Amino acid sequence: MRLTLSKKITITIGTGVFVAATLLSIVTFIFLEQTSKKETNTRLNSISYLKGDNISHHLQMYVLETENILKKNEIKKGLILLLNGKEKNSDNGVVETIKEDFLYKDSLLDVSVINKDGIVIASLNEAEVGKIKSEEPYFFKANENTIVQNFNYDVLTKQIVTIISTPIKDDKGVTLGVLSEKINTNDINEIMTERGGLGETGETFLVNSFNFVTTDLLKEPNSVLTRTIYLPQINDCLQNDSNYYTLDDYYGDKVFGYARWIPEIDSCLISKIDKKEVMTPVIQTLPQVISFLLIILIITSGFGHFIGRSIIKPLQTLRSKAIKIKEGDLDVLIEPVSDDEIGDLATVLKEMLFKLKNVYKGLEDKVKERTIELEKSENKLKESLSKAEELSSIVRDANEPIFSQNLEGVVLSWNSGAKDFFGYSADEIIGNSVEIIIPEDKYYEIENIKEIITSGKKIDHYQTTRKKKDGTLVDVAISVSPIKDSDENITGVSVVLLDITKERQIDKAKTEFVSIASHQFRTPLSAMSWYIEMLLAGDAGSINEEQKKYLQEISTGNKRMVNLVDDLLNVSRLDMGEFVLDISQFNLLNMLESVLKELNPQILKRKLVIKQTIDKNLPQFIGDEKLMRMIFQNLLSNAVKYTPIGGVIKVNLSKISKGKKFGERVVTEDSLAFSVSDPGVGIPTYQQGRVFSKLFRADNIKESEPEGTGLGLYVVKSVADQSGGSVWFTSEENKGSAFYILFPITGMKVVESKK
Amino acid sequence: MNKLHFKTFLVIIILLCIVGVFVVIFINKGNIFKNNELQPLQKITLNLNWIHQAEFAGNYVAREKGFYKENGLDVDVVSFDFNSSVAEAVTRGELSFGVMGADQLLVAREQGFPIKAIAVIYKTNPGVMFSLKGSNIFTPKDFIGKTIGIEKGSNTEYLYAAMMNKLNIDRKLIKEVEVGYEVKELLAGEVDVSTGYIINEPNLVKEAGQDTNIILMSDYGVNMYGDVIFTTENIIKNNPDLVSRFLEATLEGWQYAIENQEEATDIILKYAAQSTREHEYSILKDSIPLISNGTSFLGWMDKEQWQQAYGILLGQGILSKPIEINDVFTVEFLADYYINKKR
Repeated sequence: MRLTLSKKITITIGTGVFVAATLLSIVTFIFLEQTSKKETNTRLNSISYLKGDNISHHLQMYVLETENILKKNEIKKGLILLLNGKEKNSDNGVVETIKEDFLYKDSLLDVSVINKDGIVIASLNEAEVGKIKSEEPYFFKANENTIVQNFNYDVLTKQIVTIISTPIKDDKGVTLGVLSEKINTNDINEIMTERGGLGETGETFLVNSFNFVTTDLLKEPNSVLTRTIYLPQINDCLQNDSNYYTLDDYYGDKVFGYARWIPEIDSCLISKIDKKEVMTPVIQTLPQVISFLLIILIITSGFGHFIGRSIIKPLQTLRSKAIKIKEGDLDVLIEPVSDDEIGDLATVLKEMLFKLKNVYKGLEDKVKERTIELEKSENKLKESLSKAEELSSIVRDANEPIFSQNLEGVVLSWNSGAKDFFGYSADEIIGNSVEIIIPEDKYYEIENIKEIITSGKKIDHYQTTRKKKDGTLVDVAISVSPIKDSDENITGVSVVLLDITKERQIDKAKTEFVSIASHQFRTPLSAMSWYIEMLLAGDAGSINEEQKKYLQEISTGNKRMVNLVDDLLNVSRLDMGEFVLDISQFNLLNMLESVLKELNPQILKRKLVIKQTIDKNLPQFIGDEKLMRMIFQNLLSNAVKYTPIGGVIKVNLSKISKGKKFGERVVTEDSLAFSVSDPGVGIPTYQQGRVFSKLFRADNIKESEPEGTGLGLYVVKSVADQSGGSVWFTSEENKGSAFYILFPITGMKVVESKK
Repeated sequence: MNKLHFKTFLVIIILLCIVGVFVVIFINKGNIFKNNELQPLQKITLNLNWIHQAEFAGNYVAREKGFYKENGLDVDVVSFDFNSSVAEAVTRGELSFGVMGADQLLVAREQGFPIKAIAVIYKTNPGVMFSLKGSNIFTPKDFIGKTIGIEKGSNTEYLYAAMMNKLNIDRKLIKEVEVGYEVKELLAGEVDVSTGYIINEPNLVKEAGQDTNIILMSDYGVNMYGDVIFTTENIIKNNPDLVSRFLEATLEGWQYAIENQEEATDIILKYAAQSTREHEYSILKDSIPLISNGTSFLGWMDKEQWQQAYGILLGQGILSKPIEINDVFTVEFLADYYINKKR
């Protein structure tokens, strides 16, 4: 069940006020009840008090009057005479006189004189004379003092009387007899039945010590001295003489009442009134109270409803607006509704809406931005995809054999060029080891490639041999580049092969040609050199300075040509495969010194510093002195050539034990190590793979050093490779290079079929 | 606001109400059982010293209004059989109580019947000397020279004798004749004064259209308790609870009769079927001041009164042996009753 706020407020206020009103009514009702109870009790109490007092007073008056009469001399005298037997019994003179003198003679029924034997000796009522009253309390109790005996019942006369009896004493104070007066109880009865302030059901009556009712009851006629009342409170009242007792139940009737002990008449005065009568006016207010409550309920419900409405109305306005906002209408206008919490809510809502709008707008912009970005990147992606497609198709369809392999040598891709070249289809080779296409003696290259690539380098145009499907070996140049994943980790390599069989053949032919040509050049050049020397020495007549100058120029050019031819001869010798070591024992230190001496002019000219680290205890080296010298020359001259003016060249010549490091490599056997490092221009990274290629010259030196054949390092490499040594370098462009060369300490020896 | 909770609440309230009603019914049933069903009624006999009449109104009422029953008693109220004395009947019976005059009881005691009064009904002896209104006889002294009719065999005879004795009036100066109970001698003028019971003979005179002067003999110091209720010493000793219950119901019956005289008369007529309503009513009405005058407890006995009765009987030679008055009656049951009632 869903209760709207309005209903809730209505119910809450209605219930609250109704409950409060009910409680108030109950409290009022109880208060009213208590008040009227209290009022009634007070009234009854005072009535019973007054009546009791009245009766006491009444009886007291009779007693006083009786005693007063007895004080009268003539009466006293007459009574004494009578009691002493001096008067005649029948003489009613004295009792008549007493009656005459008695102030309340209307109430006086009888006056008797009783002698000390209890015999009535004189009475207004003749029949009384002679009766024996010796056992009557009003006689034997009145020996000393006046006593009052209430409600004495006379069987014969059926009179209920109050008897006041007082002793008659002579002058000596001796009791001679008793004077008894019968007084009717009408007075007392009247007092008790007087109904002032007692309403419809209220009454007062007396109960004597034997629990008999002694005055008329309101509802029960003829109950005097017949009806007994045994109620706990009345019993208590009759047994105690000090207090009054509250009566609340009178034989099943709920009453307010009191039982008050009246000592003078040995009776209990009961005053009571039906509770019903007292409470009726209170109870009669009940319908009024209920209608009052109903009116309150209606009014408060209405009031609650009104308040609910007045609270709800702005809330509803806000709600409808909030719904609009929810539905997406951010242009809702929120006006201030009221200056209270709801107003605050409206303000907050308004602010919220404003912020929402801003956020929304910002969001829109951002979405637009993102969309554009997304589009861009999508285009890029498309582009790159198409590019990739393009690239991959280039690769796929290239005539050059291109394939990729992982670092372990497993083939991952295989283009059509590779297929055509090797005769293996992609399906045949992908997933298999690249060893399929490598001759057994070149397997080590797989490890080497991995090593080089993982060290961050590329392999450019490395010449080697590969095996086709039909088993034929082909000379190829391979270029290997790393394949990196998105995290820049090298996962594999791409290999581009170049069939260099033709190149080789051309090379060979060229080499042969060069070799022949060089040989042919060498002789005339030598002759030329020889004749120029002679001319310069003046052997053929004196020459003038100008001639000398020209001749010197020719001599320099001739020397260069001789050097070039020498180089070419060396290379051709190497390339021709006619590699023969001319083994001898020689001192490397001397050799180094000699080479440096040769270079001295350039060193001095360029103000270079040569820092040598040399093991002076190097043993004699066994090898080809000429070739070794060539190596030293090449490396050192390169260093000198490419080191800027004032640079420092470090030269190291030492023996390295097995397991020790040389440069960045670990030496695998006891070796002779030679290294040259220069702070020169260095070799561009992209060309480092081709450093040892024949006729290779790095781009950055081609311009600055137009001279140079590009054969020096080729020769170094060739010699080292073919004589059991190894050579490598580290280089960084514009920072310099370092070349390392190792030979087994045992010396050089021809390495077979390395090509 | 949860409907389910509200329903649960309602159901609980209703269940509580039902349980409450059952509990109340059960408790009430328990009370009913306790009061009525569980105790079998004790059968006892009450022997009267006369035929059924208003004199025994309290007993009839106690029986008819169920007071005896409430006290667990089934009382068989037996009228005088004129063959054996009440004392004989009571001592013969197993659980018997009896009603008779204090004088009869004292005599029976002297004869050896082990009986004891437990309450007095007629505190004031109804014995009167009555004369016609015009005779001007107001006091016993006025008897001198007159003819007195004495109902023979009635205890008024010796009450009269005792009174005259007490008043020192010489009976030789008075002519005493025997009369019946029908007051015809008085009405015929054969006697000036007659003995009788205030509850009976004066009414007969009244019915005959004459007014009476009545001298209540008890006014002259010769009161002697009228009917007393008695039982055997054995029952008192061995069955005091029964005595209490019987006495209690009897007194309640009497109080009820006093307060409800019309209704009591109706009840009396169930027993005294041959009598008239008026007659029984007037007996009852006139008896009440003798039984209860509001100045002492109903049924209460004073030793002085017993002493007085004994004195009268002894003086008249009806009794001859000395007697311990305290053996004749006991107020222990009365005392218990009133103490309980006042509690």
